[in-house]
Amino acid sequence: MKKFFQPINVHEHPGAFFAHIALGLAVMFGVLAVLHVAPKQYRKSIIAVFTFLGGLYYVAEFFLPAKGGSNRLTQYNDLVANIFTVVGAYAIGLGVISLLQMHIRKVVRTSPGWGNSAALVISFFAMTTFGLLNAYAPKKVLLHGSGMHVTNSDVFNFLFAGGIGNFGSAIFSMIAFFIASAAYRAFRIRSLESSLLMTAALIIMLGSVGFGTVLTNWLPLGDNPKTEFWANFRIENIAQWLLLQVNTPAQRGILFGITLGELAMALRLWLSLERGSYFDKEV
Amino acid sequence: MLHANDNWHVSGLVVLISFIIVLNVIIAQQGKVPTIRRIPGLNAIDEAIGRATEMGRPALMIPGITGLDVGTLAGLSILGHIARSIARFGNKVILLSADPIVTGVAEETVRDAYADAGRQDLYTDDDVRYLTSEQFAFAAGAAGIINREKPGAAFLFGNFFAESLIFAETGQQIGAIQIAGTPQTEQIPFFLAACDYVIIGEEYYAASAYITRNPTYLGSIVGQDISKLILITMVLIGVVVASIDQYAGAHGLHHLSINLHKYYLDLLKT
Repeated sequence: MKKFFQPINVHEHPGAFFAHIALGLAVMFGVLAVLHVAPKQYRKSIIAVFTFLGGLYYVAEFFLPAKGGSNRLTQYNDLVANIFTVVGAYAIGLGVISLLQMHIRKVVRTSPGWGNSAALVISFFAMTTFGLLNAYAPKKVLLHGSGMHVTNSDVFNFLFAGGIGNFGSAIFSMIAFFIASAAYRAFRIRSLESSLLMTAALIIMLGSVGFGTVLTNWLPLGDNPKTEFWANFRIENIAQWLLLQVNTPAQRGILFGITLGELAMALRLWLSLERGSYFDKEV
Repeated sequence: MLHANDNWHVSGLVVLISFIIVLNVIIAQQGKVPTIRRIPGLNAIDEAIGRATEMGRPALMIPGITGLDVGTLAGLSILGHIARSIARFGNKVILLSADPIVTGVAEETVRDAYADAGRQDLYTDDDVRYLTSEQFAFAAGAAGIINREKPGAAFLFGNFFAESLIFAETGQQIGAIQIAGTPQTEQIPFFLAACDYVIIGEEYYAASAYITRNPTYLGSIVGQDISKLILITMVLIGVVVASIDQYAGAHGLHHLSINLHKYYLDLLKT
């Protein structure tokens, strides 16, 4: 049973690979058909049972006594995770269809910004084509002659590392400018709170750079018990104190609340306590 | 893998807290509904929607960039209620998603919101847009849409990471009223710097209760508050015990050094 759900290498067992996909699709359509045919009053119960069983596995796996980091259920963790991955994979197809529908429609109607949509559609098909070719025929030569030797893998790497990778880095680097403009607004001294924020930020910044530490390096280091009190006023020590004694407890306080909120929400979903699931709507 | 028997104290605490929350949900569902304090950020939602409508601009919503986890579900729940208000105002929604599963749930949520408000005619397939699952490609796409469509209000509720400031600053530059909330504590300072209202910490999970006054949500909030009191009490006891221990150690009073602080730290470690 466990082996049945293990990932299959398409190159080694192509028949089994495609048979599993077909079986997965059949099960998915079967479940959807059952949900569709089931009377409305039972639909919520069916979903609640599946949700409860899914959550129950992880609860049982956590609470069953374990030796050496594993118990009877631990061996099935990968299997359950694979099932969730497969269910999620179907949704990717739906997302891609929705994305392409919208942008192809824009291109066909030449709506405002249709050029961006055309770029997306072309990029999508280029990446899909060369992604597949890179997986199944990476060494196949695409262009040859005049000193050129371009394989499928080369084109894929050009698109991925040369395109997506660089574009991603460019967008990431923009954050530096956004931080500067946001910090300017946040640190403008307009109230007591923003003044405190500005002062704290200034101390942290000075405490983190060489120039800042030079300002107070005439104070003792704290290695002599007679003068160690004055070491507290060195800017790097004040910065550390702010980070560890003020910032960290506040962050942990917020985390306590968030964790409790997550636990409460997870319990409500797991036990289907929300009346009318899907955010107040009857399923 | 972590298991309950690695630390029975923590596991027992999780069971106790879970019991308290479920008990309070059941009590609230039976009619004993509590009241909760004001959350300014959530009071501003209608103001933001009203302003966007007056300006003739749509409202933008982003339910984070992760898959369908607890944080995203909480965000979608809030956005569903906001979409209902937007539909009532007769305005348009643009919801940007970075996950195909979230897109499906979001489509249904927004469509239902318009149907509830009796404005199905306003809903189109372009209202909920799946852009990409790549973090910075999504950020670039969202920033482009914000610049082109110029929403009057932006609601950012979900799991955000390094890209949070790209959305918030772009929205700020085009003059949108922005309300944000995230369970990712590292992103809260960025939202505070760039948004008009920010929902912090457990307020994020209390938002649905505050907006809908649904007894189940409200009961859950009471359970969370009782649990928080238990945790605060434990932290305070830990502080006192650790202080006694420190004092005893420093003054040679080893008979007072009871090592309780170690027990408490173990208890709170996870």
